[in-house]
Amino acid sequence: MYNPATGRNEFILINSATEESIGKNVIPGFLKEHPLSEDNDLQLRVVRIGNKVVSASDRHDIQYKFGVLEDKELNAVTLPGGFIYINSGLATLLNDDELAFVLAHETGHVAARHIAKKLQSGMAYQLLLGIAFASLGDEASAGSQQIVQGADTVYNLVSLSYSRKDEYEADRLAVRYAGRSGFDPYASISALEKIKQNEGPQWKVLGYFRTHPYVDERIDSLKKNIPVIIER
Amino acid sequence: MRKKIVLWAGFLFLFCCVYLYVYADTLLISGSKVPLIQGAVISDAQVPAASARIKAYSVERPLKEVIDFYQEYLRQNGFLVIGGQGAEGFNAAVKKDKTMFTLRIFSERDTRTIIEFIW
Repeated sequence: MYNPATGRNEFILINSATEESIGKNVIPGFLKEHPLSEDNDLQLRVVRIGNKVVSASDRHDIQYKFGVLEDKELNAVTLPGGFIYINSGLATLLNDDELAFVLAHETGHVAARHIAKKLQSGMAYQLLLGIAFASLGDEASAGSQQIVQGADTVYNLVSLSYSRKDEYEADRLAVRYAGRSGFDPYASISALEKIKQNEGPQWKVLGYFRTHPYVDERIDSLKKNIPVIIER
Repeated sequence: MRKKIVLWAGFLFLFCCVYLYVYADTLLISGSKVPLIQGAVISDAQVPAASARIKAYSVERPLKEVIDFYQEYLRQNGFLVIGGQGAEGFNAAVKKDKTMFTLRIFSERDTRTIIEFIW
């Protein structure tokens, strides 16, 4: 299958409908553990910027959903099926252009199907299908212990750090999506620097850079490549 | 009596011919026999995957005919289906009882149709 986000032919086992179904079935448990912020203005700001960025993305066969989690840690997470969550701590730290970059970066992971690839390489395929079908009125699988454990494995997998290649790719896509939707692509650099500065000396093992590593190399690469990316 | 035996034998012969035409072969997935459309041969374009088993077949039949065949099979056998027909062909996760797999059907170079089972 040709992936317009990566420009490559790729073999993705999980189709978009299945990915969305997995997401819908793990979200209730995830939000129980990580409640949404009650700050409606912040939620609206994130949804408004997120939707703008998504309109410039390469993948439109799923419906993206944005939300803010009530958590001071500087982090953002993407669950299967286009569910993109940013912690309130990070959303309030960044200005609109920087926030657009962070949301566009997560959108880039979705568009390039990094989440689907993480799942298919880290979980038994039958378990993934079981989670996808869990809410379709099938008593044999719905609510079973296996599904609960499967959902935990999904959280753990999406919380693992992305590879260097995936991070570079999501950055490149983020710059393109943010730029196309009217945000300043150079805010990508200030966003990463601001997060690094606010994490303190433990920045490599805390929050955002635990799941989105290689920050110094990424900043260097962004400085070098933004003009090339926005020209395309 | 002899006439009856001949009639039964003829009926069985016809039944076998029709059955073999429609279900030339089957693929065993989690204990269920999934039919392969007549003429399907194992494809040399098998893609390895660590977490799943994949079998691909190619058949010299139009894409639409193959999709119709499998949609009818899924419908008649009461499969739950996530996904379906899109611009590039058919791509759906399906489930019945304990049998779950993904079925992908797409055209290759407009000359043959590929059927992929992933489970």
